[in-house]
Amino acid sequence: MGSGPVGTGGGTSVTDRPSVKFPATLAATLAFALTFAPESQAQTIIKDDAGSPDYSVELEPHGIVTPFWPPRGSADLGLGAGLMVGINLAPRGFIPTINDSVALGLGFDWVNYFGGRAAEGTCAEWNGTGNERICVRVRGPAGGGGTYFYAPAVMQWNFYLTQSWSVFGEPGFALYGDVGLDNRLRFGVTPVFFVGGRFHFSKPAALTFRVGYPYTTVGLSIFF
Amino acid sequence: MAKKRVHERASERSGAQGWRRAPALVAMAATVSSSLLLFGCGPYCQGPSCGCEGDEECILSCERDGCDLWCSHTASTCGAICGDDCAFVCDNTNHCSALTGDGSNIDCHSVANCAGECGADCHYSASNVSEGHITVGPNSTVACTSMALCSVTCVGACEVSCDNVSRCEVDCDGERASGDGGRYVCD
Repeated sequence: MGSGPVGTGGGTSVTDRPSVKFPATLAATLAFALTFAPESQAQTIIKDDAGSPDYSVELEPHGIVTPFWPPRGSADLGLGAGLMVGINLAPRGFIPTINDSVALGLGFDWVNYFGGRAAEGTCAEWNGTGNERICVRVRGPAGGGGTYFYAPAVMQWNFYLTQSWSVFGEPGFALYGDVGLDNRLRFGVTPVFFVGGRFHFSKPAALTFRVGYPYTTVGLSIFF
Repeated sequence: MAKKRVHERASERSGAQGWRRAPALVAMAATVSSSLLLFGCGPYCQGPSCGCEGDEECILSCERDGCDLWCSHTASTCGAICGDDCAFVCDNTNHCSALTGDGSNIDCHSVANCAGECGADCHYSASNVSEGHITVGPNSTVACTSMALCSVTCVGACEVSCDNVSRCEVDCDGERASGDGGRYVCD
């Protein structure tokens, strides 16, 4: 991604189709990229496996927005920020005939959730006894939002479509933590999955977006 | 090396022209995010539709500020755990439990027992109740009406009123307050 993964294109025309079938989302992103790119940049380089990326590490600070509920509780909206560090483990990827690469993505994200409805449940912990007892914790997920920290670890599989556009899928897991009203720090693990793309507007940088669970990000990638 | 130089020149050309497409990308990201937002929201918890009438025990948990909760008609217990500026109405059950933050407004009525703990600037109202055991933070007010026992612990300054209460006990940071016509003040 970096500068570009860029192969020469080898004269491949825009209408040529890669031999590998992509998932629907990647195909849609490809269609968008090719639709909005000038013809000179729209030449596909997906079949040029030699045009592998020449970066080692990617730093990607990003903003976060999410409509999804946090792992515990509920929310109407989550906003936050974070950083993803990509380590380019396999510059030539998994498929010999495709211009792809594989990176390990390690991140740290902060999300503050707003709104959300209450959760209903039975009491898991009482303070006091008899008529004076007060419930301080419920069984199951708590309602409402709160502040969460995520530390995702993902496998980032990149596909370089044109000189300006690449797309990726990111399956993985995230360690998360949140502080409840009882001021206890609670940890958990959640699966994560993202689909995203990069707009390579210059050699060392790209605009990067991803959608998925648990959040959507828009950020700036810097390649080293 | 020759191949790489070609690549770099191509990349530079594409970068210069690519900036013009940045607004389109931002618009697409905004559209995707907005779409997700529209379909991802859950309802607020307001009124009895969010409660659990008919269940044996129901504790409403809302770990954020500004929750608006109502619990009634459970067989044994209703309760709430919520943050600051929480509004909680609890009625028509055996035991009401409330654990709330600052600036909360709690209304416990028509039950056997009210038990609650709230932060500063709290207003707790209990009426038509057998027993009330209430702890409030600084600058709070408690109103007990038509009760057998109203036991209040004030952590800091507070004001307690007891009307038609058989036993009204107010503790000011460890010391028993003396009432004046059913009005108790902790300084």
